[in-house]
Amino acid sequence: MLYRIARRLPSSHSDSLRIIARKEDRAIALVAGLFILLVVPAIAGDYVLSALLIPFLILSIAAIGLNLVMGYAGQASLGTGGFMAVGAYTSYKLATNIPEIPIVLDFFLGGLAAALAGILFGLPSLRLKAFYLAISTLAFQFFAEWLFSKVSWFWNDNASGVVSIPAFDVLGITIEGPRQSYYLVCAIVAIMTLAAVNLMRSHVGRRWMAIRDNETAARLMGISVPAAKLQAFAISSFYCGVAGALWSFVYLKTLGVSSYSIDISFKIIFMIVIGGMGTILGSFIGAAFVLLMPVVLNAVTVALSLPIDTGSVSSLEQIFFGVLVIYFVLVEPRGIMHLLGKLHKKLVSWPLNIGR
Amino acid sequence: MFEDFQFFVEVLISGLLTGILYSLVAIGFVLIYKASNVFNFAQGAMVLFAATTLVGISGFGLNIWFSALLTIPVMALLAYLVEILILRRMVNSTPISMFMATIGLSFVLLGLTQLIWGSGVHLLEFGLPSGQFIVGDVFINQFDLSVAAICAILVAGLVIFFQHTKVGLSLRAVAEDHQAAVSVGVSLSKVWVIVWFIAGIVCLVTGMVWGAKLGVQPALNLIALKALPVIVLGGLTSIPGAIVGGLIIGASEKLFEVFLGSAFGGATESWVPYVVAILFLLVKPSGLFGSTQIGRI
Amino acid sequence: MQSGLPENMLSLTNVSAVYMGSILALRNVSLSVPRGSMIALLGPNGSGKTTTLKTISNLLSLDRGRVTKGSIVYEGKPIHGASPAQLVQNGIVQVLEGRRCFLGLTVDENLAVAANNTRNTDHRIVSGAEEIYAFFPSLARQRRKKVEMLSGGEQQMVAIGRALLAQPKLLLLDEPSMGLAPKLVSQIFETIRNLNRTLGLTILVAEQNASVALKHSDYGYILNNGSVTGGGEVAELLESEEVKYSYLGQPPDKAQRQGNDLSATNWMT
Ligand SMILES: Nc1ncnc2c1ncn2[C@@H]1O[C@H](COP(=O)(O)OP(=O)(O)OP(=O)(O)O)[C@@H](O)[C@H]1O
Ligand SMILES: [Mg+2]
Repeated sequence: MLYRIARRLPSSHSDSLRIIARKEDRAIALVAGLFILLVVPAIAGDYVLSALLIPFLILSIAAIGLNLVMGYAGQASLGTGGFMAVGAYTSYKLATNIPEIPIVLDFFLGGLAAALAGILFGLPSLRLKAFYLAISTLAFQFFAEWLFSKVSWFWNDNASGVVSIPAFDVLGITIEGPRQSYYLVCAIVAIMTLAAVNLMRSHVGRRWMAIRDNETAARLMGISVPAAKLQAFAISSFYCGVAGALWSFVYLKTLGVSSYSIDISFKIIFMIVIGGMGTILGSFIGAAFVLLMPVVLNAVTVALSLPIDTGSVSSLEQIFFGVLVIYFVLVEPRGIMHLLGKLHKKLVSWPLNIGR
Repeated sequence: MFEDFQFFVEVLISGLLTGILYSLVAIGFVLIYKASNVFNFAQGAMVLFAATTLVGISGFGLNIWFSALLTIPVMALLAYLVEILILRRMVNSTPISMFMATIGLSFVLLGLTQLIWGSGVHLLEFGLPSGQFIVGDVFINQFDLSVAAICAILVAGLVIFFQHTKVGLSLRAVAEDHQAAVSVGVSLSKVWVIVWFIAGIVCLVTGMVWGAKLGVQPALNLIALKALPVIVLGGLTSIPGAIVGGLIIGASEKLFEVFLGSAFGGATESWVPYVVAILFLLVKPSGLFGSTQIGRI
Repeated sequence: MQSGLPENMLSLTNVSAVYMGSILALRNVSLSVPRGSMIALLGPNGSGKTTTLKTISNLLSLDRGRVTKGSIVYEGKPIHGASPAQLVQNGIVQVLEGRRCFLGLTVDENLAVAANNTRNTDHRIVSGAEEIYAFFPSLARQRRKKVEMLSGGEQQMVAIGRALLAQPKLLLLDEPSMGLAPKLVSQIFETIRNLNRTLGLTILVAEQNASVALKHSDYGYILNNGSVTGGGEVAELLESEEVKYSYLGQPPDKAQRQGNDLSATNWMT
């Protein structure tokens, strides 16, 4: 038995302040961390790293971002792709025009620009609720797509719409192979995840959740609702912006507005609905699920040599995700995280719970 | 000066007539929102689904009107499935979850459409006139005018249905207060199926008209999303609002594009409607004809 | 005393109900409604009167609520899990708290919604809207007005008339006195009692106004905090210290309070 039932709760105040309260869980986290840093890059091939793990990590950041505003603060957003685009294009402008700035700082400045956009388009949230807000963010999505495809200044007036990203250094090391990219992304993901977890455990996160659960009650408790909502939009968009920058610089190596279309907004919504709204870990699980599913579906059709053309596979995928989202919304609104939680509970009392 | 004015009027009229198409989608939206409190993101997908099904059926060599007739039971089946698989289980869900579910529904419908009928552009021809005629000095498309006529007939039909039939009365009762309606024996399930079916018919009509104008193609889904700013502008619960909102959005996006678009690099129709709607909302959050929502702690 | 009761049309046995899966609103509520009787359900704010009625009509299912325990038997059959619309067809009709008329529809239309949606033909208690207008002459004059233009009392009449057109066997009334002047309250209760006597309609009425409710009913139950804490024939209840103290504003009598063993369990079977 991996888990003891005793000491399920932290036993001291200093323990309960930790991000991972239980000793056993901390040990598991340490092992997992070492595994991710040492074992994964050693055994994973280039394909797995660059086509699966890197996009997974980057989209996890975007999913955390969306989860912050939607899962924690309860404000619907369909504009994730647009915020990612702002991050990407800002980083590109900075990287190409002011090469003195370290590239990682460019990513974060891209995030900052996205945060500004988030505040701007979050402003309607002060007067509008639920659907109206969703539409306001949809407006941003379409506006961003249009802006970055029409105004060539954003891609230095290049002749073609798709711009290639020059190679770049981090701390004197040129980021070329998938392993270097992997470590870079890992570092950024680690920092941003820790920050998000901590933020949600602080009064900031509690304020957001209060607003999500009952805006009027939150206001009556003295929470400044407009400020908290804008804060949520800003921080969420910051995450999406950084993810967007990494998406172009590290994963795609090209810059084009079509990689930030409304499709990616939906993809990230699906990630948090499936993974678990209002949980940071759920964002990762959802991202992994949404990215892996098409690969698995493809593998299945190939393995069974089903006579399905690629067009049909993509339609099937669309149907599959649609059904999945409906299923999770209807049956398991707290996502895979909740399913895992139930499983965990069962495992803790196993084998005493057999037959129950 | 006079030339300019004439051009302005032509642009305005063509914008208004496009706006009628938006109004059509928006009407379906409002019907569903009023009766089942669902903000149906899948409305555009339903338009595409209906139009593609129609084209697909007529592909078997059937007359276009007969195919449209055969599409009606398909839309009824869709309404029925949506009710038993989704709505029934969502009676007590939050509006946001319902909204998410309809995003899922739109993916299912788009996927199904492409899986069954492919994703090409299909032409739809059912004999709407295509010439132009001149009133004073202004050119008007006969096609656009017949669309306006179709829209008027549809709205008249809906008004008669809602005001003068027993089922229509039950639908209005549910829209007023669904719990009170249930308390005197109205079956919510039945009302929902009927409303989604009627919205499906509206989608079919919209899909036909739009298909005749632009061809039936996946892009219809995105164009139909413009019904969102329309209902935001018109108020979520008002059919007159949907019509007026459609006209305003249609006219303003066309005028903006023609007179200011080039300064912005063109193709501004993708976002101008949304910005118009949002700016309007900031002034009047309940929309043109909407009623103010009263929250409860 | 128990043997004197007529056959029960409805009985709840140990019913518990929750909202949103966790907020316990009813705890082991047991009560029975004899055929042809008029029963008053008394209790302070938040005691669970509305919840009890909604549990019976299953309108609870539209309020994120559900029954977790116990049985509800109507006309000899358990009705747990039946849809509200189905229950209306079987004759259980509720008049919701706060009237809840369709404000944007006319009086005629309000009544028609109920008449149109009632399919049962075996137990018609009113023939049609005209009979309702005969009961409530002041409505007849305003039948083409939108209900939002009517006074509170008239809206209550619309709500009751609408419920009658759903052809109930068991009418559940939730606070018909809410927001009405004392004189109107008596009138409404006289009308309700009249319906009970002339049409033989069984009525369960939740009410804050204990004196009026008890004056016009046969039996009463007292709910407190989601549980039945008392009940009995109205004459007994009017004498009981609990009712006098809590509902009729009369000072308590300590000596008698201790000897007061009035409780739901010994009154019921
Ligand atoms: N929709 C709901 N969701 C959650 N809790 C509810 C809901 N409706 C009622 N409750 C709770 O259930 C309990 C019983 O409420 P109920 O409405 O049945 O009382 P009541 O006796 O009808 O009160 P009143 O005289 O004020 O109408 C209360 O504590 C209330 O807070
Ligand atoms: Mg009540």
